[in-house]
Amino acid sequence: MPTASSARPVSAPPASDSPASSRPADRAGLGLLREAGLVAGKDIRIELRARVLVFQIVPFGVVVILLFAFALDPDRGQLGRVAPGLFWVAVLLATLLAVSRASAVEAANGARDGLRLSCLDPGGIFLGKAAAIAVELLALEAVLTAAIAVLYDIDLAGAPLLVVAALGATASLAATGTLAGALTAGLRARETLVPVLLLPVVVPVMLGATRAWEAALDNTPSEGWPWAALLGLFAVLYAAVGMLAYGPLLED
Amino acid sequence: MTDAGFVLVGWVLTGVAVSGYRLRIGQRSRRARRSLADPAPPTRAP
Amino acid sequence: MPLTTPPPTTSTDARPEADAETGLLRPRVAMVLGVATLAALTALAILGLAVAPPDAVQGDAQRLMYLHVPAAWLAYLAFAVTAGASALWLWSRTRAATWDRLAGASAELGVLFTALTLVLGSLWGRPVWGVWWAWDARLVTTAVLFFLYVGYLALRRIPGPGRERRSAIAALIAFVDVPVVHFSVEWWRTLHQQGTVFNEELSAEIEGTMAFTLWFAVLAFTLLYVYLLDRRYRLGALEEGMERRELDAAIAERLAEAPGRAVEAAARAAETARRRAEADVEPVGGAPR
Repeated sequence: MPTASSARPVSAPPASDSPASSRPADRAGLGLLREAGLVAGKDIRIELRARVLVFQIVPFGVVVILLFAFALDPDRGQLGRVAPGLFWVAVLLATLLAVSRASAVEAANGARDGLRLSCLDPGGIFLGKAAAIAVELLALEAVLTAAIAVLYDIDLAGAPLLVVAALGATASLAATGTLAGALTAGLRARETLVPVLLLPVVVPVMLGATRAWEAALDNTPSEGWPWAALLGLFAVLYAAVGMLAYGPLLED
Repeated sequence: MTDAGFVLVGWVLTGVAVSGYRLRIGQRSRRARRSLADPAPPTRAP
Repeated sequence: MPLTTPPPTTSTDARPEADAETGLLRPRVAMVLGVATLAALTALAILGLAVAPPDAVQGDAQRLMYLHVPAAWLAYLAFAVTAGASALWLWSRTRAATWDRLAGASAELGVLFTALTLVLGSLWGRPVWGVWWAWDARLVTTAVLFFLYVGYLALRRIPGPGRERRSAIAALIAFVDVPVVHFSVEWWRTLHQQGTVFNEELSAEIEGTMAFTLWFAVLAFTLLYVYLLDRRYRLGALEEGMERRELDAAIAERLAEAPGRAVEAAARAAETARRRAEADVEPVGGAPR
């Protein structure tokens, strides 16, 4: 019996008398964000109760970081140079798990039908789901950053660039991941299909995130900020694509 | 391998790939046409 | 031959096709095109392998250019067609099964020619520059292109409602990604100041017979593309017809089962009643098992 997954009817934005919220465009924008917030909140609450992130995805990420150290001999000093790349590969692999998990939650208990029947704007639903995944990924990244600082002996320089680039990359991964999840919703081959669809698409994200973090850790942030900008653009692009595509995809 | 060797391999490979693909389409088309022409309906999907 | 009009397809969006084998071209035109393509490719082989002179710098290895460049052109053309057809399918005013079929056929050709481009590129690069691979924007983008559309084809294979819509959206996602990939890789390589030798292959001055051969190659391959596209499209139509028949047959079989079971149940009931009557035992409880 779907409880957390069925949406409560969204009350119309307050038809207040204050002039600020009386323009229709304002009301529509507010409504979209609020709906996104509702969906994101639901997904995060489900995650907080299930604790898949904490007990499964984060450990997975840390183990991947460990495994890379076996592949690249720590004594040879290579780990420091390739740390950004390894970090983002670990995050990408964890994204696959997070998307798979989110799809599974949706598939259970007819939650997709619930979402479809709710009057929520599909664009808002998409944003909400992507936001929830983004939050989970950011939590993971915080842990993995600590992990590479400790295990790879990395000095975390250039923090602002690190953070901004991470936000852009995370938003990009979350948007494309949610889109890939929506594309494969309900299909039996889902688990193997999502990686095949997602990985080629996010090549620019991997490139940009790694280059930005390399620049930050190398103390040459000026080289990294353009990459962070690229990440932001990518996120906006695929957020737009996702919002447009989610409605039609939900109908099937 | 000499330069000519690489060239030959490349051209032969291309020829094989393209004609192989064309032949495969032909084979599947023949099978489909035969199946559609058959008055008896298929019992189970192959 | 006349086929019974098929019942509405599982996708409620597309109009059902009355004839199982439809093509992009009329059969006569397709045949002429096939002959023309074969002739053009034969002529290309003669031109490319014998008539055109070897390159001053690259020697005979340059002859692979007459295949690699057209193959790359074909790959991008094919994927552009897939994207266009997918968009046409998605737009409700132009939606038709033909666009979905076209998108799939063109994507398959695109993957074939992308693979060919990559292999030919390696075979060309090895003798000329000593490497099987180089990390430049064009090569990397082509490699990513390959995997993007392999994923698309994988998604297409999964049957079920909404297949056309899923595929169409995936095609557009991939298409939008390609320029982003190209730009980011190009930026990456120029920042590292890797003046790639691969840039020379197209910016080098080619004149006379070599230039003509190259353009002829592009023409011949374009004919090949249209010819193969029509063939593959036809095959798609045929196989869709076959699937519909199998689906109808499976449904009919299921319906036939139902009365059969009822007859069996009635026969069993009659048998039980008869045995009880013979044994002179009053049926206890009433209803036979």
